[in-house]
Amino acid sequence: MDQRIITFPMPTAGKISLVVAPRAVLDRLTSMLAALALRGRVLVVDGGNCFDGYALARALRGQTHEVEAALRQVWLSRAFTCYQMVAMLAELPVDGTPVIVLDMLSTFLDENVNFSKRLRLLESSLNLLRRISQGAPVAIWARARTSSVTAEDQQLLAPLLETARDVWELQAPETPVHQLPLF
Amino acid sequence: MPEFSGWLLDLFEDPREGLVLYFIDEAGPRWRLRRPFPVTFYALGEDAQLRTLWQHLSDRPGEITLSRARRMDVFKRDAVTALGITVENPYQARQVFQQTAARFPNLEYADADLHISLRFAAETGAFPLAYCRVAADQDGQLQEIEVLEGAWTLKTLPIPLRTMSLSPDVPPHHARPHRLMVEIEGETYQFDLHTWRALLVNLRALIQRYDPDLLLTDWGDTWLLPRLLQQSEAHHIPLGLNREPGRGVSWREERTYFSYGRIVYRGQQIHLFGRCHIDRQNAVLWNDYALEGTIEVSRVTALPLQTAARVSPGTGISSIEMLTALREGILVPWQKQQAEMLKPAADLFAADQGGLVYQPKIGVHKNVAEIDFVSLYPAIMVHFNISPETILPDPNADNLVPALGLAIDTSQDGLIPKALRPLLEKRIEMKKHLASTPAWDPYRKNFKSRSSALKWLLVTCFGYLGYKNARFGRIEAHQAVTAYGREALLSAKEAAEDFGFEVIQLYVDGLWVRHPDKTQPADIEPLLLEIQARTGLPISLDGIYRWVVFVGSRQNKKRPVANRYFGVFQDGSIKVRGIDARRRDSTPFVAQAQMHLLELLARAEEPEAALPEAIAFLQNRLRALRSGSVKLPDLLVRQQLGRKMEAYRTPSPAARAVLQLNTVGKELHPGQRVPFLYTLGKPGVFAWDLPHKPNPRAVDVARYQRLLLRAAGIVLESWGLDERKLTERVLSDASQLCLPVPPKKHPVQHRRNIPGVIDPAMDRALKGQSQ
Repeated sequence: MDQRIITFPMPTAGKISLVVAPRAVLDRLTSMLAALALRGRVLVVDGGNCFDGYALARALRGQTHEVEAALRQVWLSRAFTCYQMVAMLAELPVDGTPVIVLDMLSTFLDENVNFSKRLRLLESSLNLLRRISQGAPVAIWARARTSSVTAEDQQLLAPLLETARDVWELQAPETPVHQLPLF
Repeated sequence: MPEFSGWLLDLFEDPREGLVLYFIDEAGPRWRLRRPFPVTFYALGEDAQLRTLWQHLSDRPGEITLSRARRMDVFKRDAVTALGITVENPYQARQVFQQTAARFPNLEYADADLHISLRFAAETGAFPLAYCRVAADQDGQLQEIEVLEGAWTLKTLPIPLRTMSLSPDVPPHHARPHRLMVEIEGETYQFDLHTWRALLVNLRALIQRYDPDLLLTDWGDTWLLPRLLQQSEAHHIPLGLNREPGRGVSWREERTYFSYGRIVYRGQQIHLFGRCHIDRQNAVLWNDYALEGTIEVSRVTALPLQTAARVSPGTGISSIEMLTALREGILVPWQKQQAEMLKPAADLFAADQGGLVYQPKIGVHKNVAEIDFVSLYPAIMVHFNISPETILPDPNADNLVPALGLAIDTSQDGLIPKALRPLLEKRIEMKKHLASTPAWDPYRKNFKSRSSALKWLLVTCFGYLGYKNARFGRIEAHQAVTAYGREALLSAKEAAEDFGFEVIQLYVDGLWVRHPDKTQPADIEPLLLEIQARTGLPISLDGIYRWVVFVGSRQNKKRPVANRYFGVFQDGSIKVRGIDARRRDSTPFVAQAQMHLLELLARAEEPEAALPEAIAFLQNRLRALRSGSVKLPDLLVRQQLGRKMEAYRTPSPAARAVLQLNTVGKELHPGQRVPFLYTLGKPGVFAWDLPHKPNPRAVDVARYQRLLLRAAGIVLESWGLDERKLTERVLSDASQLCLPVPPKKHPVQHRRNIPGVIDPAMDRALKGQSQ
């Protein structure tokens, strides 16, 4: 991933921001989450069971002494199936609170659910996020996967790209080829 | 027509007759009965959508009946209105449901994909292998069925199952079998697998003559039955594997899945109609609880025997929960929609913890009592009424879960406690019974197997509470169980310390305590009573160790590791956890040697006295290894393939063995275990299931030597002989080891070529240097 990108711009109401990046982006997202938490309440929907409370606490500690109070501003719910993801988004309050969706596609890669059903549930989820984004900032992280994803599953990214207004696609840097030192 | 007492062997849907049931009459005959059995599933959603569905289905009178129903939704904690869709013939119900769900994907469905045996058990009380009184009319229609032995009966009548065993002479994945061995009623028959016509004719004759209830096979699912069926078709000789005329066998696909962080592979399955087929090599936990345990699982889960043999304990516990829900009129969701409650990140630190562990004090400890809560997590669910519908987000309530800010509704029994209570009580009763049953009692083995089957169901029920696909799972309930578990263990620790005990280790549901003056079981009794009084949970003494050793981690010996120990109880029995003797990927050569060392230590009055004998034993084993007298199967490592082959960046030894198998056309899937030998040179392994035999001289003796000495070091290091010292001691008498004379080559080259010389101690021994 490009190490020059230190922070993401804060998501704003009226549009959906999408980050397509490998797992390493989580540090940056955590920083963004910390910044949002210092402003007020923020909702996190975790689709990949990847929320790291300790990392968030560390990120907050650099910016405030009131770490616990800031942690109380971050409200979290985890979805373990695509059905739960839809149900969870349907239940989110639409009151202007920023929403961050972590590893959104993870639950939609469940091979026990047929593809057309998953695609339909993903569309439902995006409809719900569109509705929320009209009055609140919404940011989605879609984890870029290089292996173990079928060609069919790769199609799941397309609806996200269509829905988002701002899209950040970050890739892990290629291993630099250096001449080995001779001495 | 018959009125008889007997056992319900099998039941399944039939396209013409509704439900077909096979019974074993205690007087001898086998009966095929039938009865109509309409099944109902429910659609839930907005009224307008339900009305459209109603209109869509209402033109199928006589086939489908529609009704408006009020049913309990456990997650909403209230009755909800649903459209009841009753399909007259259960055979068509699955198809009707699939069509409906595809046409109306936005509706929710309940009671939609339940096994017919669960529905039958919920309606009549009769479950597979239940002993019943049965009445039928002249046409074979089942009229009445009354259960005479419930699923929770402790001592049951033995079922007169007629069992036919079929096994190829060698494992087919290892080598090509040449003979099929068939055993029935004490007779053994052998058939040549190259003369298929003769085999088919004779096997058919045997099946017709004995009419077995159960075909017990080895590799029947994955190799034997597919070949028998293929040859039967090719030779136009029907075998009659099914009892039910006119039905083909039922095939289920192979699959790989994750369970408790481990990848599991299940081969394809072949199910029969009217008689049962169990493949011992593809059955779940067969080595642990065999047929008796499988029968117990079938009875308590209400799943047919051949299904119960192949499903995980998780599916078993799910069946028990679904059966309870059906009986209580609670909807069983097809796809659970319930998500985790929104909670502040700060609360997650307290809520999202597992069991409590206090790292052990490393080293040897004498007269240590091991005290375990009996089935702690299930007991907590039952005692504290933990269930998805009893968890209330009310931080101001009286009945708060420790550290969670959630309350438990105790005004009525939850679904999960209702489902688990009889299972838990039966397991506790069985344990008590087992403790008082002498070793010679013929029922002991039966009780042991059945008790083990119940144990696995109970072990799994906690995980299922948090499992994403569990119908009645809920993450907050899962967290509540561990919160109460941590609290109970802390209370137990406090009680032990109040009674003057020193706590050596705490591990989730058990504690290891020591008191200089309390070294007999009777001395521990007051502590048990106190813990039970403080926690409300049953607890028992597992035993008192004469000595127990907690070992450190491999990387840093000073760092304690939870649940890695070995010890000897006062009755001389040995308990090991987390060391080679217990690990499934250890070679038998190493595991058996480590166990033997433990036995030597256990037999001695003081373990130190056994050290000379232990060293002599190790030298003996090394001599056997180097002289090639250790059988190659004893050197086999069985490692699990953890992922798909293409996902390996650096192939593990198991993956390298699979690559070898791929070259001869053998495919393995993630979750399967791969037996292989460590060999010299590249690729460093020899896959055991290759068609040619391994060269015994290619075995990497040095590697096995290291494995042996490392395993021995773990056991002996507490008495001053760690791996390094042991290597020096054991290898000091180099002449005993019949070492080959190293050729005069570059040292690096001959180290590679000669087994067993890469250890520094061995090097020194070879060069004749002293320490």
